[in-house]
Amino acid sequence: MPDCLRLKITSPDLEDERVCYFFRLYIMMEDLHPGTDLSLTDLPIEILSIIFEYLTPASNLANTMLVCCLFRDMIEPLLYRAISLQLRLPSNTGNGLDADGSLLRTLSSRPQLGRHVVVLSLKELYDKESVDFNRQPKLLSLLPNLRELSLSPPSPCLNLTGHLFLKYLRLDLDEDRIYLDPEQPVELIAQNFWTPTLTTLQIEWLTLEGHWSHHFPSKTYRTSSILDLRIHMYFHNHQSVNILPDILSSIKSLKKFTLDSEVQGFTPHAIRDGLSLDELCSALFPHADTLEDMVIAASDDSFLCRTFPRCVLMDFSALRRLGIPENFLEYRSGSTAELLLPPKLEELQLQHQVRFNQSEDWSPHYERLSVIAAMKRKSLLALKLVVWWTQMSEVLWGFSLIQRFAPQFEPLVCTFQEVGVLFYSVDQQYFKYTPFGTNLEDPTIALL
Amino acid sequence: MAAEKSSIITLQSNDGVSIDVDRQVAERSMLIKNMMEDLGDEAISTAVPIPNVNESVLKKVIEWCEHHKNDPQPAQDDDSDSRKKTTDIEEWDQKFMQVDQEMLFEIILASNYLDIKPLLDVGCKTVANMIKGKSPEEIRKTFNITNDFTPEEEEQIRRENEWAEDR
Repeated sequence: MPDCLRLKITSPDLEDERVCYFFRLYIMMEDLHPGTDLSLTDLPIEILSIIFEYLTPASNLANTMLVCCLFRDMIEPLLYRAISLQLRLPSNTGNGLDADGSLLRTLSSRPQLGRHVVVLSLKELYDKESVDFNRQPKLLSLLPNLRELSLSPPSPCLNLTGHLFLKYLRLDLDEDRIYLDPEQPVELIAQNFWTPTLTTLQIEWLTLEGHWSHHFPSKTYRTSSILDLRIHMYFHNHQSVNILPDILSSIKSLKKFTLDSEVQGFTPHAIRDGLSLDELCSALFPHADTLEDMVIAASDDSFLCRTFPRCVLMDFSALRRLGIPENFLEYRSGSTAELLLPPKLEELQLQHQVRFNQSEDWSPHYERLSVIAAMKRKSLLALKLVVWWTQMSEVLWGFSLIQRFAPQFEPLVCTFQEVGVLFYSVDQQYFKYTPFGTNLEDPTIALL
Repeated sequence: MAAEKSSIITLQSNDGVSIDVDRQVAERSMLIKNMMEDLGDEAISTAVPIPNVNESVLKKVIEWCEHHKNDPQPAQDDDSDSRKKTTDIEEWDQKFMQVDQEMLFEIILASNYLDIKPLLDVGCKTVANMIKGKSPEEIRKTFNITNDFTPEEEEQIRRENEWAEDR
């Protein structure tokens, strides 16, 4: 009971209505939480640890650690298991808290804490003058058991070859202006591409400047252990995309591949060739037997063109999940009743790009979708989900042309429902907001 | 199937009280479900002793199972995927958990013993919500915990974990 209340109660002021009210309220609260025989600290350790797992964000764990020795001993490994730091520029650090410096000091003085860390996500807002890229490698060297790492942005001297448990790596190159040399991002990708246990590599805001095929020479053919490669590529001027085949052929066997290309508005005319779907597919062809998940998408003003087909989707016989531009679908030659789609397919997302001066005849699209629905009973027995993605650039979106272009899909929803397939359509400028794009979000953040 | 669903089993609390429960309701408890599968129909004719749970707690747990009898059974290892640990609790469960601390802890212990994972989770989330947003001193007060740190130890822990402060 608070002392002030105790004093009031024992004094003649008790008649005071307000005090009486608080007194009754306090008695009620004590009734709710009486001095019980069974206390939180009596619960078995395994139950306490379930409770502590729910104490996100980290500040709650840090506070609970300070309650008693038992809690400190239990929570310390939890607090250090997954660390996410968002660091501001020194000049914007209002409270004077230097989070990565503080973490670095703690880990340096108690290295055993660093062994608890399995997930690390660092988001740093740099400017070119204040950038201290030495801190990141120093911090990473104290974390030998890392399994998942997200760096936004990564230091150009990043070298993870000593990390023997790292499975997931996310490199966000968004702030590429901090790199002195445009080839630095490529160097750091190549440097870490052969980290021995790495299975998932996610690269955000990859720009392809400079010449970098020498980083993926032919002697590296099919040597990297990566199984899941996710690239979000960004063009802002003349760039060659010829490096993609070199990267892909350096991987031993790929199970998942995601490519989202994005072009800044008003510049696509500067990119003569765009990305060729057919070239991408032939670059992926060495992985045709293992690839289960293949998603190729264009966001905003980017586009995917067709050149000369050197392989067909049927060759990718292991595919369960496929996202492609709709115009990549082909009918079996001489047939209008069957499309060339791999037999194990479970989920399909089709991108349809809306262009400015297009007056659209929707009937061929409806036709193809009905064919897919009909194939569920014959050749696509595993099919569960079909997504139609109407995509347009930011500029078109601004003109609200979507209303004019929006197709009528209600009858198709029923057609798919009849064969037990979920169908829906979305309108988005960017792949990352489509149902297939959500896995490009940083999964290390989800933990925290 | 329908006949099996409507069968009644008798549970006996550790203070000797017998409570009749619909089998479907009782089988929210994996312990009872497995026992029923092992023993078959002969278990139905005798009272099942629940040695770790008293009458009032057992009744409360049965009340929860009754309300959730039609929920889908949780997958065996579903926590590997749901990495984001939300402490959101549905409204009925929130009201259900408005009990004194001793009862809350008793429900948690009983659901752990009876292996009713969704109820255990609701209980643990309720406790987590009572901790969240509180200072160490407020947490100690809420749960009547004694501070067994020296001021120096406390200061050291605070300094070490400074990085986690406003996160």
